[in-house]
Amino acid sequence: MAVFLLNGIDTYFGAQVAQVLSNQAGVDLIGLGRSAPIASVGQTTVLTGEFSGPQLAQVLQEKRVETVIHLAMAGEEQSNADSEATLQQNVLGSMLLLGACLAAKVKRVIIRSSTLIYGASVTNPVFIPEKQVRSCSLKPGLIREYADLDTFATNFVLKHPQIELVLLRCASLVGEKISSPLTRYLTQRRPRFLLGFNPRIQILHPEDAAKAFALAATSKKVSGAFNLVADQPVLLKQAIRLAGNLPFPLPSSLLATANILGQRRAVLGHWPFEQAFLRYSCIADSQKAQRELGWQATHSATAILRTLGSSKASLLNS
Amino acid sequence: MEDLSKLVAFYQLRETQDFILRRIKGEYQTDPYGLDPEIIELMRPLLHFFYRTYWRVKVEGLEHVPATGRGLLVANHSGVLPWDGAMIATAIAEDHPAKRVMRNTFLHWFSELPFVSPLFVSLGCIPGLPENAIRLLEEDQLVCSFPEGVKGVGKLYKDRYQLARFGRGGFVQVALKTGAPLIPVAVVGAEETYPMLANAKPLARLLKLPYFPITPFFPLLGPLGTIPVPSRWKITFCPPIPTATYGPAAADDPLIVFELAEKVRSTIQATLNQRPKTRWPF
Repeated sequence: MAVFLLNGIDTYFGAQVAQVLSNQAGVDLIGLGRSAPIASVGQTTVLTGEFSGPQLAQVLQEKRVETVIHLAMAGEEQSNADSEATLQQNVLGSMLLLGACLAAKVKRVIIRSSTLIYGASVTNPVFIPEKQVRSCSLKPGLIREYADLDTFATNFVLKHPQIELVLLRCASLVGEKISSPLTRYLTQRRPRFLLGFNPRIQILHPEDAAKAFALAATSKKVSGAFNLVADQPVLLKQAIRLAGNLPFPLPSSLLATANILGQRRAVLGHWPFEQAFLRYSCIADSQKAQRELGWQATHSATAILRTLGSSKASLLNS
Repeated sequence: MEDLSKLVAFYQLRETQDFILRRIKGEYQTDPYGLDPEIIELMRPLLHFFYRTYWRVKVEGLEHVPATGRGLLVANHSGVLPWDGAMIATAIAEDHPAKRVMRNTFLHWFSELPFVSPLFVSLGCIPGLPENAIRLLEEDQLVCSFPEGVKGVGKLYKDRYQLARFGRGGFVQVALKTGAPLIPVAVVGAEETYPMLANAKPLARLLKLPYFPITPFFPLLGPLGTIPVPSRWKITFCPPIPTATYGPAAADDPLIVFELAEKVRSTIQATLNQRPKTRWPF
């Protein structure tokens, strides 16, 4: 039995991955979380509590863990996470975990990253491949933390080639059950968009993402970065409308004034990413994942959004 | 008879209503690059009017555009606003037997413009980056490139029909990498749509524009000055220059790249020079 450790079992998405992975033959899954799981986790042994770096290394060594799946990114499922604590967990916590993996001689590490780390820039190709180097800087926030982790992990395995690294860069998860930054944006009242701009966005259903993590964890020879996205990009305004909402136009000058006055939230409402993503598209190409990982999204972007729209409608009617 | 016209009007009204309702619900499909067939259908009457009535575009050599498979069209660029690209695409959509969709490439600077950027994308245009052109050509599509770029559209009226530098030969590299034939296209008439007498550079810098045109009508007549002049156009598609025989490795050979770029450039310049010297532009 190969031993797998999943960090971040206390999130909805963590539970989703655990469900897929723990039911596979020959898999012994340990789930690590700060609190008890919020959804069914299948046949996973759950460990809760806060672990320091050396403690993590000890757990990994004792349980003879071969593969670590790192999903514990704060700010994904909590709607109002404290930014300093988030950065601590996402960047420093992840660095400690990688250090612990090295000390405990873990063979494979699967890390969740984001397709938005390529940044929103006019010089992005229409479909961004994994090898693309970001041409713009990112402002502090969740996406930059993903980018920092992505870069750190890539450099880390260059120095320690005994560890196999898989970076799964997921598009924004959207689903009727998951609380994620983009789901919160799409389901708020009258989501704002910038007048005159309509970037294309990509989303991903948590079930499809979970399948990719299980595939990456169990396919021994695969390594490197992979973009994971649902079949086709949709326009931002189209996404809002499909989710049963009405987009609300915001002139850029008004937003610029609000930024100066520090009233961004009041004017823009909830927009989880930096404002450049309201102007320019950041569309990733997932052909590599289909080719090398044998992964295919089963939920199309339009279907995900329609389901979100109808679940919102039934919520209002009940 | 009256009943029939009422019935027709009723159905038209209902169709329009359905269309608007579907758009409000977001129930429409764009292709992977953002091309929106319904927006193209909406714009078609306008493009048709410009093509047939306003500029009375005469087209020659459409047989040089392949009915199937990839092709990289390379055209001269002129006339402040990129109407030339729209007319080349209209010629292929309306008069080519295969009625193909041609993708115009635009300078990525246009992506920064509100309203313009989403419109370009929904009409099937793509930012003019080599990666984008290569991807489309590998899907056996038709792509049109304007190697003169801003130097072409921002040309002064006195320099009309004199080709500017053809970039750095990036378009040839794209053709070599994908084995797509290069099809030179010469557009006569677009130069006169906005006769640019001067370029107000300080104003352009202030507004962060690549150029600020002073024409006899703009900015003098304000928004009215943006109406293009109804000049008479002619678009000539020249015989394709095959690139597949060189192989993809030739894309890294500057000698071959610049030789082909010069071949395309001189073909277009020669075709432009054939225009009647006493041509009355209207």
